[in-house]
Parts: sequence; C-alpha cells; structure tokens
Amino acid sequence: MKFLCSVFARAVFVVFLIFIVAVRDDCMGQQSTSDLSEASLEELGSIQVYSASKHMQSSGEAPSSVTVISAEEIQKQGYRTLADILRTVRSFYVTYDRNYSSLGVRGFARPGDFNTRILLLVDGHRLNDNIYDEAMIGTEFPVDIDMIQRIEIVRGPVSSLYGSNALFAAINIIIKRAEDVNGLELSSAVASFNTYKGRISYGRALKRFKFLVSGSFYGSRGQRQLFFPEFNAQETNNGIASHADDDQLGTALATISFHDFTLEAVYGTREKGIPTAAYETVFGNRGTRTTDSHGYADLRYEHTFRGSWDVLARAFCDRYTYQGTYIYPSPVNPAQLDPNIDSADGKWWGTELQLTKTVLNKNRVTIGGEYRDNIRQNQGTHDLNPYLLLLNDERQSFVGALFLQDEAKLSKSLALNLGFRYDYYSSVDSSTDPRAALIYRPWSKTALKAIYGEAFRVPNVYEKYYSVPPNAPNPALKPEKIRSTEFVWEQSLSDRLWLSASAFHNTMYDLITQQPLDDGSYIFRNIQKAKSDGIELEVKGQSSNGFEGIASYSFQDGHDRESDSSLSNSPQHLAKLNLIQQVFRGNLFASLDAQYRSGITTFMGSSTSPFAIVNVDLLGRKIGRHLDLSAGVYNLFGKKYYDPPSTAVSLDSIQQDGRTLQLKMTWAVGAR
Amino acid sequence: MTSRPPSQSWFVPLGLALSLLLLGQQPARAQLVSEYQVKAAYMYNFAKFAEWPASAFTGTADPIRLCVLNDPPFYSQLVLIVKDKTIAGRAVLAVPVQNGLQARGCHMLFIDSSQTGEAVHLLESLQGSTVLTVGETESFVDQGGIIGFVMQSGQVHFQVNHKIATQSGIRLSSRLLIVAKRVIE
Repeated sequence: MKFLCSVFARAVFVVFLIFIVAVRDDCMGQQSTSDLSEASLEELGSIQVYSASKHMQSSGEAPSSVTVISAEEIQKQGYRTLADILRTVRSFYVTYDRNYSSLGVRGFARPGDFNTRILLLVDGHRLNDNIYDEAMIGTEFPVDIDMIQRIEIVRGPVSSLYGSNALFAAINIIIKRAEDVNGLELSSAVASFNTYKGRISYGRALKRFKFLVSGSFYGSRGQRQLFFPEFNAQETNNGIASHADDDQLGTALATISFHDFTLEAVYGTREKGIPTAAYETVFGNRGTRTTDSHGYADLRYEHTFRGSWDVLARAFCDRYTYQGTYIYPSPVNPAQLDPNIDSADGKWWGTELQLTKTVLNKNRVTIGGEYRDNIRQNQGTHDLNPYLLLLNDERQSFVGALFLQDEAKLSKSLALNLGFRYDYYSSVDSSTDPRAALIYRPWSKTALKAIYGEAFRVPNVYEKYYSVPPNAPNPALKPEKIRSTEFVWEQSLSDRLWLSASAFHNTMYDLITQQPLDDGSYIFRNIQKAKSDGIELEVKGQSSNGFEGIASYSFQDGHDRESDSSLSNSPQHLAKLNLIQQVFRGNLFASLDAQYRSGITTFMGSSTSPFAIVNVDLLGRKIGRHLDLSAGVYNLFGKKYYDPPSTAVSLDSIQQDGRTLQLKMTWAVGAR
Repeated sequence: MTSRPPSQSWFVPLGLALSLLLLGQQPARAQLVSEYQVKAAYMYNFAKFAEWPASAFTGTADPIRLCVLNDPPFYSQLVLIVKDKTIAGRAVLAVPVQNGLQARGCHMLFIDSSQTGEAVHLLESLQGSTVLTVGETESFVDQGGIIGFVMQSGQVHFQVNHKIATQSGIRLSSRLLIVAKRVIE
C-alpha cells in the first residue's frame, strides 16, 4: 500500500512538472494577442474556446465556492455517469455499494444517507424525491450524461435560496438546449461487462420556437462473478455472487420553448440487481433488485420586463416510484423462498416565483416564494410466501417558503450578499435560514470572500414512518441543522493560471442518524452533533497549445461530538487531477483524471485503504465531419480498491471495479 | 480509530505549492484562447466593419472608443487586442465605463451576461445614440441590442439586429451581416 501511495505521489509530481512545462512553454510561445486581433471574422468563429476560464472569472463574483463543469469537459474526459463527474470535483468523494452511489462532501457522508444532504437540481428543478429525499447520481440519475450542457456546483449551505437538503452543496445540472444539438445525433457505446448504450437526440431552433427530444437506454450485465469474503462458506457459494450485478436504465427528455416559455419533461427508470445480500437477503440470489423511476414536467417562464424586472415563474409536477424485491428464505418452509416487496410512491406538484430587480443602482434584489404539495408519500412492504402485509403507510404534506436576497455593491471593490429564507412545513417545525457573504476585490485579479450560512433538512417520511422490523418509526423527528463559516481566496496568477483556496468550519446539530436499540431494532434519532473543519486548494491552468488542467487537494477533519471520536465515512485527504491536451492543434484530445482518497473508517469500525485511480480517454472529434469517436480506460492500472458499505449491506467494505473500457461513437448531422 | 494517512500524501500539497511558486513567477505575455479573448478580438473586428455617422466623432483625430461596462477582466483583454491599432486613420481605444451616462461617448459598448438585468434599461437609455451595443445573451438582439454573442459547440458566433443599427445611424458592412448567425432586418 505504502509503495502504491509513493508511486502516486511521484506520479503527481511528474504531472505537475508536465503542467509547469506546458504552461511555461506557452509563456515563451508563438501565439500572441496580436495574432488574435488579426484574425478575420470567419476565423474567430471557428476557434474552439474555453468558456471555463470565464466562469472562473465570474465565479469571483459569486458569493460562494463554485465549480462549473462544461459539456466539453464531460465529453473529453469520457465520463459515463454523473457520479463519474462528481468524484473529480474538489472535496467530493463517491462511494458505491453496487446499487446506489453516495456522495460525500467536505468529509461528510452518513452511512445509509441517500444523499439527502445534497440538493440536486435539473435546470433549477428539485430532483430529490419526497420519500427518501434521495439525490440519485449513479446510473439512476434520470438524464443522459450526453445531454448535460454544464453543471454548476455551489459548496456550502444554500438553504437561504433553496430550502431543505442544501446542507453541503447544491448541484444544478443545466440541460442542453435545442441549439446545442441542432440536428440529429446518434450515439452508441460499448463497454466492459457486456455494457451497451444508445441514444438518439434531435433538436431544432427556429426563431421563437425551439424543441429538443432525446431518448437513451443503457444495459449492463455487470460483473459475471463478484467475490465477497464475508460470505466465503460452502452454503453461500464460497462467497461468489454470479450474474447478480446487472444494471439497466432508460431515459427520455423533451424540451419545448416558445418565446419566454419552456416546457421540460424528464423521465428515467433504472433497475439494478443487488449482489451484496443487502438487508440480509439470500446471498447470490438474482431476484434481489430495485427499480427507481422519476419523471417530471416543468413549465417555466422567464422574462425581463421594462424597468429591468427579471421574472422567473415555474410550475411542475413530479412522480417518483421505487420497488425493491428482496429474496428471503421462507419462514414456513426453509426450502422455499419468500420474496419481500418494498415500495414507495411519491407524487408532488409545486410552483415557484422569483423577481429580481436592481434598485438604487447598487442593489440587486431577489424576492421569491415557493409552494410544494406532496400529494402522495406512500410506503408499502409485504411478503409473498406466505403473504404478509408489513407496512402500508400513506402520508401527505406541504411546504411553503419565502426568500429574499440582496447583492449589494458597497463600493467598487466591496460587495455584500445577504440572503434569508423562511420555510413553513405542515409536518415539522418551520425553519429560518440566513446567509451572508462579503466579497472583497482589492485588485481585479483577487477576490476574497467571507461566508456564513445556515441550512436545514427536514426528516423524510422514510426516516419517520418506515416501521418494518428491524426498523422502528420515529414520528417525533425534528429538522437537522448546519452552521457553516467559510473563507475563500481566488487569485488569477496570470492570464492562464488561477488559484482558489478555502477554509471552512461546519457544525451540525440534531443530526438525523440511525441508531441501534437494545431490542435489536433500529431507529432514526436527532442525536448526533458533529463538526468538521478543512481546507481546500485548487489550481487551474490553460495554455494556448490546447492544454487544460485542474489539480486540487483538500483536507478535512470530521469530529463526532456525541461519541468524541472521528467521523466515520470521512476521508481526511482527497486529491484530484484533471488534464486535457489537444493533440496536433486538431480535433484530437487526450485526457486524464486521477483521484486519491485516504483511508476511511466505516461505520462498522472497519477501515478501507487509501487508493489512487487513474482514468484516461482519447477523443477524436468531427472525423469525416460528423463523427466523434472516443475510447476510455477506467482504473487504468487495475487498482484494487474498496468503498465503505452503506447501512443496507453487512459487509466490511465493497470491492470496486478493476480496469474497464468504453468505446463510444457519436454521429451528429445538422447545421453546426 | 482513524486510519492515518501515509506521510507520502503530503507530496500532493507540496507539489501544488511548488508548482504555484514556479508558475507565479511566469510573466503573462502570450495568449490562451479564452472565450473573452475571442470576444475581445471580435469587438475590434466589428469596429472594422462598422461605419459611424460623422456626428459620433468630435473631429478627424477623435479615436474610436470601445467601451466595457463594469467588467475589468474583459476590459484588460480588450486593451491587449486594440493596442497600437488604427481603423481608417483613427486610433482605437478601450475604455472602462460604469454606467449608461458614461457610455454615451462610446462608439461600441460591451455589456456582459451578468448585467443582463440592467441591459434592457440601459438599451432604452441609449436609444437615439450612436453606440453600437454588444451583449452576450441570446435575447440581447431581441431586446434592442445591436450585436449579441452566442455560443455554439464551444465556438463564439454572433447575431445582429440590423434594424436598430440602421436606426442608430450605424452602417454595418455586408461582410459582417453574412458571417452573422442571425440578422434581424
């Protein structure tokens, strides 16, 4: 292990040297400003630009620590899922229990937490469901990754704008518009473990009318055999689960815009075989699986009225369903099986209004309100052999909220951002969440930010009412709360090099955590108090010879005040590296991303080892004008590494995939 | 029990710090092709293909002023682009401005996307002036702006509202109109 880590450290050094050489070379380089000013109109239109640098510059204005990932990066790096993208983001880490992917941010990820402390948005539409509050980031994410135009990630508590769940980060996925596709696109991919992917998209942008439709499927047989040492016994097939790792997904997307109105419909359904004997099911039985489906329709209206009033109005309805089939031995006849059917059915609609206006020339004021009506929050569980109804819980609730934000320019170099949101819940106590950010730009290349924010999460119906043994319900749960202080320094070191550093301190109160009881059952309680401190450092560079790179390091120290020990599921060190190099100034790109994660103590008390993995991708664009071809190798060195388990799984750790491959081709024809 | 990280992992922050030191000393001489640089180069090109009425200038030596509204990063790019440039015997000047009033002396005005909210108000106040307004939102040309940048597949293109340009007394060459992705007549 030590050896591998030192190999990684050396690799990082080497890469940094390349980084330096690439940028340094460029400083002495040939292409100068005057070249660009001599370029003709036509030439300018053909230059591929890096808009990321602009985001970086404008993020200096943002009242938080922001990361933006563009479609360009997604394509060049050969990312396969949203989880693939998020694991490359500074201070983020993803763990996979071979069913759902869990996201940890700044050293915080609770076991069995279905990403409830992260808010996931698609074009500003909330995606966390109304039963488990789950942010689905793996293959279960209902939008095809190729249809993402960019991802905006805001770190820190942002409940002052978005309400519940925005404790550690808000991730907004912006979907491509009709003009980004502009014609017909066909895409297909083949990958390891008999994995096939296909997509068809068509977009047209007319003067005032635009539309985009896209559909995709994904099917993977998964690993043929998975070995779990915890089950290494004769009666459990020597710990080998065969053909039990299948994964299939279908997605559909449609957007229609007319003048200032946009109607967006999204649907995704995923079925996953669970090879880990989750919830003490029969090991290796292929019948144990879950299906999650989420669909919504969202109508929004955006307009700038006379007198510079910006209006955003939105109305939406969502449906989320889950069905889990869990295979147990039958209690009446142990030779037979007893499938247990666990299901959830959520339905909600809501509306949102937001007005923004600049007043007194210096204040940009946003005022808004939101209403969400959970018309169905049902959970059910029954056994089939013999039939036994275990749970039939039907709930309804609503939430209303008002929010106010003011971005004030106090002077040329000083800006103050104040936000405040009040959320009224029919089911639990209301919450008031303030946020304040002071942004100081002493020079045009420097931004200093001091941020204070609070955020909350209401207990969901699963935590409150799921009462199938060994789970005990707890209807008296209250919302949990976080208070966070952060300092950010953003510096432009040169025309092509940026630095961003931040330090944070988070304190969590009334944390909703699953606890064992004396009678062997489990209950969610507001007990844990925790704090975490940390620092983050990121360097981003570009050069005119087509090189882009981001390197980041983060250190976080999580402490559980209740048990006076370090937080479980919390790595202390994370390091990331993302490099893209354009080859021969043409349409060929080589990219590399690498992640290092230090060891994690699991909630079971076991630990996982530190590891580093490297993924590489080669992309050729516009081959014969219409074809994009890419080849990716993931976990290039075949590193054997493990993730901590979720509470669903009675394993010490879960081995992850070794080296895998993906070949992808996209054929686009249209007015590009 | 926490698992201690291996000491080697400190190479990572060390490496970061080291490369920072090395890179920090590099002079910023050459050019990366950022979105802003391409847009700044476009600004200079637009000036080449636009003709302002004589009333827009105080005299034959009066420079062409390309103004940037509250956007220091873009302004610094434009300064590099127009350095030592002349168009039809006039010097080209990059000028930072803070509000619409200051913009009245400009020949061209760049309004970045973060100021879209103010843009409509600003465009109203600039009506009847000879300022060629350049924005970077899709709806800019529909809201009364003259040239609006649009991004398509990572490339910078532009749209033109020829009608407003003509009303403002600015003549745009046909070459510019041909290259434009959309022209409102």
